[in-house]
Amino acid sequence: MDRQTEIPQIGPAVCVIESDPGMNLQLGKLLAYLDSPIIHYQSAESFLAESEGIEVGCILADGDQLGEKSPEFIAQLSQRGLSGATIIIARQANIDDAVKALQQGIADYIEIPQPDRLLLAKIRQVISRTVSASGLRTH
Amino acid sequence: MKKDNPADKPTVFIVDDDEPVRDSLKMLMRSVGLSAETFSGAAEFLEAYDPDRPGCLVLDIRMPGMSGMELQEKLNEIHAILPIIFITGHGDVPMAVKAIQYGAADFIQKPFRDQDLLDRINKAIEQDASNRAQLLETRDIEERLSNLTPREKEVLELIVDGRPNKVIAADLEVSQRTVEIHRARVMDKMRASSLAHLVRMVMRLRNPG
Repeated sequence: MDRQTEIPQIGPAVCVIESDPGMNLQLGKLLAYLDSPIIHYQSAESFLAESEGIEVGCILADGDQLGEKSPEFIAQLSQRGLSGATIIIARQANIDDAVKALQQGIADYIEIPQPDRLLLAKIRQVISRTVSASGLRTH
Repeated sequence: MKKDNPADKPTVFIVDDDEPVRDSLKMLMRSVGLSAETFSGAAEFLEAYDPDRPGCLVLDIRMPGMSGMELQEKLNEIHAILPIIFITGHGDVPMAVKAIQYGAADFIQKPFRDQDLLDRINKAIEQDASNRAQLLETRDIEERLSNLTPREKEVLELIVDGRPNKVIAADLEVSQRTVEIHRARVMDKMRASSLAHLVRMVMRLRNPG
């Protein structure tokens, strides 16, 4: 298994899909400000295979890493009712990818780098929307 | 010659401050048999805007005076459902994200292939037709619902929640026969062909779209 998780899960988790160690470190520092469990996944495939049963508050996925697989991945998230909880972050952001992903129903598409405060606010917003839409509880 | 009713035929509304762009887009629409109208600015479009006219809006982002995004906000304020396709020569990712999050159907960068724009326009027109059909259906159901008495509405809610007549009678402290009469009236006034049909109509109002 290539994910590291804090067990038991208390409240909806932020699932980070990122294989780059540098990015993971940066995101880890940023997400420590949140009051949510953080679960790291190395790839979209490992998230899909291993996230069953997890209360998801927000999915933070690296768009550069997803590349051409992005539409297929978002379609699978939609089937699980999770596309609205998804934020794609990308260094190589482009308008067409952003538009396609949003048309598929993701919550946000963010070109990075961005100020920490802004990213955190957007993640918090998605968590609170996911919680109120699904009746999940925060701790 | 039969004259088309402009209220039924989809129109591509083109708003761009650049005249040659307006003209070439209009020609492109006409070349594939789409009817098109052009406007040199957002305010001009807003003034002529008729919510009953179907189609889609092809909107330039940057224009002197009211920008495309400002027009989108104004249209949102008045609950317009006309799909918007933004076109821009100087777009960036945050701008595109904001436009779609605020409800735009699409966002396309210049230069684009004619066919690419036409595909997106056709998709938006189809979406508009389906939204309008749904809206009509919802209004129709609402109208039927408004003919129910308060008691019939209570019975309807309980029927939809799956309660049998016996339970409804006990809940409302009336006889089962009375519930049967209310139920028959509800089915009649709602023009429901079956219980499933009735439930579907009520669910449509609870979860529009």
